[in-house]
Amino acid sequence: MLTEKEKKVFQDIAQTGLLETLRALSKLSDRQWCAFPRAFSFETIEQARAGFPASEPARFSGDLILEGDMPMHLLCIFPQESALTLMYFLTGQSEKVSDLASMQTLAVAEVSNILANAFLNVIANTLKVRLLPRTPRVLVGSRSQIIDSALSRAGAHPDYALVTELRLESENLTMTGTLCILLDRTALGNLIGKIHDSPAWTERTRKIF
Amino acid sequence: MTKILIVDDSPILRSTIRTVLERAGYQITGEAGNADEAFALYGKERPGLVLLDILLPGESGLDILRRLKTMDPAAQVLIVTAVNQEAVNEEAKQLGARGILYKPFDPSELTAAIAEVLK
Repeated sequence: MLTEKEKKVFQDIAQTGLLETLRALSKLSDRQWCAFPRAFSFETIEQARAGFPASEPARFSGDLILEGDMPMHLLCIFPQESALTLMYFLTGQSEKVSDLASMQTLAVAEVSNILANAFLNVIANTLKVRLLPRTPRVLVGSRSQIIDSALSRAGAHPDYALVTELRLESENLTMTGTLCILLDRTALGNLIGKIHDSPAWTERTRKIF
Repeated sequence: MTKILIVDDSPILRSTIRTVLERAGYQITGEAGNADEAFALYGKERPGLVLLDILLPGESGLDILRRLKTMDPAAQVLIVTAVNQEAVNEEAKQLGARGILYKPFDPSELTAAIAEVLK
């Protein structure tokens, strides 16, 4: 597990990542967004799944998979109404389009691709690594079902979940979303190693001592 | 008139790019969602410019760029991607990409980047 200091460094990186994600969303939608992240949590997969209501309405999620020495899933999860809003921003089409589910799925895939990469770019550039995910697939279900679907993908055995729940506001619009990173012990160990080697760690250490 | 090939796995993005470029007077010679489609269209149409995403199913855009430049060293490629990582940018440049445009972008940024590459 992460130590408190490691959590803080990762939280700093994650917050910068969220700012970049927000910038990407603002550009995508041509309006300014404010983000109100709830508590950043670091949990086991079981704790993360149990933390989501079992009977919540279905959501849409982009699932981006990273391979290499830090394998992980990045899930960008949106409730139905937020997915519709994103579809409108991306395509200019409202819920009146004929093939709504298909269009919504395409929109969630592309928006997740843009937002998750904005987040990954910050981690990659901070830790001086290269993080190229596979193209996103879209999962539908409650958040615990979405996590289960991600886990069922062959070769992936994540142990931990980093979860940030977001409320996004812009003028008269509000969207919510959940950013969830699933990773295993080895990936976490490699991530901690990269954090220790990074300028972010040095700066944090200098600030503390 | 420069012919442009769009290589991106997102049909929404391909459609958006096509609309913007056709309105700006460019000729879109084809759309590809993966490496096989991209090479088939490139061989047939010999476009003057390829707009190439990096994250694609199967071969990545960087792999495609490497193969394309081996096949046709004169190929003109503008990378259009959500990936903005120093190591990746450097590799794309070394492989011969003429520029990189980051998603999301405004229509004016797309046309300006293309004009710069074709200058």
